[in-house]
Amino acid sequence: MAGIGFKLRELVRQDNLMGTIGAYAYGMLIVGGPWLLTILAISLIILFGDKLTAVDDLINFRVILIYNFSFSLVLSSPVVIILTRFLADSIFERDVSLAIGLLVGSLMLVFLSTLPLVGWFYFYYVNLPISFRILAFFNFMLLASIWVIMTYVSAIKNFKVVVMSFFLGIFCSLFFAIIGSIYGTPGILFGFSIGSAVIVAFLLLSLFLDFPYPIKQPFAFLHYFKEYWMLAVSGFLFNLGSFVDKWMMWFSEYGMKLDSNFYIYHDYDSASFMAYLTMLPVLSIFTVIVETSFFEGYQKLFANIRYNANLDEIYDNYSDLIDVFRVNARNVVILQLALALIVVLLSPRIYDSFGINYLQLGMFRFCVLGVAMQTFVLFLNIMFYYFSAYKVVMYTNIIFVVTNIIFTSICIHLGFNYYGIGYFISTLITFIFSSISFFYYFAKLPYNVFVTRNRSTLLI
Amino acid sequence: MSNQEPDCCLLLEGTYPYVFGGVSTWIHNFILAQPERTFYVLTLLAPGFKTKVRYELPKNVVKVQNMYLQHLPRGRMHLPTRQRQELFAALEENLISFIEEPQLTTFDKIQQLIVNKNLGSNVLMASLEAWDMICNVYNKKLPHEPFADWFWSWQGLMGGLYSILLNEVPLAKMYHATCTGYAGAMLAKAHLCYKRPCIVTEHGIYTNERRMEIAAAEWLTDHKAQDLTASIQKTEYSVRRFWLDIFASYSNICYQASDKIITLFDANKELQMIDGAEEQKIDIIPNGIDIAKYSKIKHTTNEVPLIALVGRAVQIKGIKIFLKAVSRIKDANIKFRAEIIGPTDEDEEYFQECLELIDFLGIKEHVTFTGKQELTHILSKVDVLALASLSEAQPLILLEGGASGIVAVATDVGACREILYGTQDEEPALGQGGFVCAVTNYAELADSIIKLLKDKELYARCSAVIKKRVEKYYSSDLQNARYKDIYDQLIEGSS
Repeated sequence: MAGIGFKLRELVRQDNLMGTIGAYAYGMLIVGGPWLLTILAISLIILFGDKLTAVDDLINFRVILIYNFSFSLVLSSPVVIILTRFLADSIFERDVSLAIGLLVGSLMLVFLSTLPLVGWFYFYYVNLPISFRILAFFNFMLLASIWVIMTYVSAIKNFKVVVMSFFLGIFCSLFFAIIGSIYGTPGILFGFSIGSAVIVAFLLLSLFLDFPYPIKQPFAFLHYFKEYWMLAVSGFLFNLGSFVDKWMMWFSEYGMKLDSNFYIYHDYDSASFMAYLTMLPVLSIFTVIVETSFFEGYQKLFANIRYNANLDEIYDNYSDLIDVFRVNARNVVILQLALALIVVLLSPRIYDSFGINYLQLGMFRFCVLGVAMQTFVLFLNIMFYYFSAYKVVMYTNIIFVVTNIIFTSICIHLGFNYYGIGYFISTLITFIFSSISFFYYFAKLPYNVFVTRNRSTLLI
Repeated sequence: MSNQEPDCCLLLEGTYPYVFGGVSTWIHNFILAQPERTFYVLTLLAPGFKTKVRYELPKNVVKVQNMYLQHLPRGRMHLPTRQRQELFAALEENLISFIEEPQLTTFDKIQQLIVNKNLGSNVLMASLEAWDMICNVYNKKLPHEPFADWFWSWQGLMGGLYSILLNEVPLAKMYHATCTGYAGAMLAKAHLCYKRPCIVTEHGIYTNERRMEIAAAEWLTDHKAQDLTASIQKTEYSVRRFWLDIFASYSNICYQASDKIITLFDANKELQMIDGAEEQKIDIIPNGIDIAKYSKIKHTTNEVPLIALVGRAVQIKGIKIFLKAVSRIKDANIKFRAEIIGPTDEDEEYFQECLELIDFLGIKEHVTFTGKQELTHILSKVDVLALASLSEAQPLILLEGGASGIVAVATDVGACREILYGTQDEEPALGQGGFVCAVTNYAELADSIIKLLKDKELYARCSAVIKKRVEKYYSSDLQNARYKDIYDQLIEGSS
């Protein structure tokens, strides 16, 4: 996170509206970019593809993308979060000479660790023509690569390249997918993968240009897994929690099993994906806040501790930081809740105008509320990360996963009218837990900063 | 024999049997010289210290036990809130009183508060109440000092104290600490636990050494020290002062707990009394050496005279001062060689700086680091011993050299003056057995050496004097007999 922060602060300091809007746009881009664009691409391809190829084939294409999207995010998350931490430390120490080696190492790690599962799934489990299997397999690896590479975006100052790569990639995806649709679903998938490959290629190219170092010690970050295992576990659990209810819904009463052996529940998937879009505006605002006013207060607190502040000064900085947090937290919460409320109330109209299946309406509403809660949890987690309180985050995410599994299965059991409520209750409970722990932690921040954070170095 | 309680438990701090050096060798020889007594060695070590035994343990050592300072059990997670608050209120009061006015009884109270309650780092170091105590003491005593320094100092020092209090002392007929400090605090604890006889032998004065160490610790930023306009009298309480106070308190309770306080030479006695030692408890027993062994050594005649500094390549030995002296001797156009004899791996950085200084001074041809060498070999080849230390207790090398007739030039530290010039009440006065010069004054050091190298007659005179003085006052037989008496008295007296 440290890298983009500087760029963002520069933009916010330009005391005019454009500067601020620019900063938020960047925030949006960095946080939601790959995500948003992937979902967008899927929708567009389906929209256009509709007119070109048989509906049956499109279902397979869609299913593969959803599987690849969700599983690649979850399975790559431990590596991605550890890599983020390592890069942040490297940037802090002003030595990024290992960055390129690490990129290679972490890509290999992600490929190797997902290979058995993905290989088994596509080459043994599913029932598809071989060309399809191979394409689906490579598409998974491409998506996983994008998540890993995007970790570096915070380190690159050259956002234009990132934006260009994505637009070019998406364009290629669309173009080739439409052309490919002549050859049925494998053609679409091939076309889409070309686009993904373009993104990967351009990002890699710009990374190699930005980090002109030889590839060495590709696994230098492995010891971080031992040191920061809680971080790796937390990252994995958070992503798992985000998808586990979707996966479970595939096996619900209304989910179905395709001939190709995929399980899927189309309505719930699109309801929840659409709901996630409501997260993006506030997420971008939050990113800007964290990287600017919060980061400044945070840095002041720690810099002063290092430079001989007395206890009074430390407490002054601490209460400044509380003020920053209080004001911004209020804004973020109000904004997200307002947005969620509007979307919930307007959802019939939204569905009307997009011509989406009305059956999704109930679950969509709960998903929107759940997404609001999950957004807050995400924000609090990030706050905890700033103070290295990994244990709390891990517990929070454990609660998220466990409650999501429990309440989703209860709701599946209770029937259609309850779909989506499980996810909402789970995120609500997690949010309550997270905010209580946060207030406890923040109320005793100086103690936590000095004592809790340093337990390992206190020789105790 | 192993079932019997040992005669003496030696309380050591960071030395024997893991570190080569004067005090370690003293302890080793001391144990060998009392073969009829059994010893239990308890060595206090700095956190993370990697142990490697460097001495062949004598047969009468029953056991060597390590105790790591600041290493606490985790202990219970929580105490009931009321109990915890009471505990820390009492701790705070007694700790402050212990630092301000050290008393064995206060030390005992602190011990009573924390032992046998399954307390450890969880409650004592990492609880919210522990944090509040840190802030309270800070606000009371030094609210304008950098808090982070205070925090780390407090955690380190209290971790040390708690680890002393929470660790068991083995049962023995008597206890003997070889310094004050943490070992001294351990001695006080042993005294409180078992009421057995306790003695302390101080080679260097612990509080004095800590004072020097702390003065060198740059991270304890003392802005007052840099502000020349601030008058010394009204300097506020500082983190440094806190460190010194704690160690002064340890010395003080150690003296209170001791039946006898032994030191090597007169100058130390006064320093001990400043730290609260009662004069009638203090005994001076100089270190002795095996006269017969060293007086036998045959000296080889060198065409080019050899000047040697025997000591580790560390700052306190004043290696750089010696190198500057060597450069000055070179400029005087005298034929000579110089050697620095001792291990160089203790402080690699300092050693590198010394090598750079040699380059800079252009004395590569004249001086060499030889590494560690056999003592008899050293004594057979050296013509003049140089000692440039910033601090010493009673350097044995002067005695060993003296016994074999080697003249020394030394800085005026520890017992050097007594050894080379004799004590004030020396009867009859034997005269000068070498030269003493001011600390860090390399010019004086060099000029004295030049004098000795140029004036053969002066050298012969000094050589005879030092030989005689060492034989008379510094024999190990004398030292051992005096310690044997003390041990006999204390052990028999108590049983």
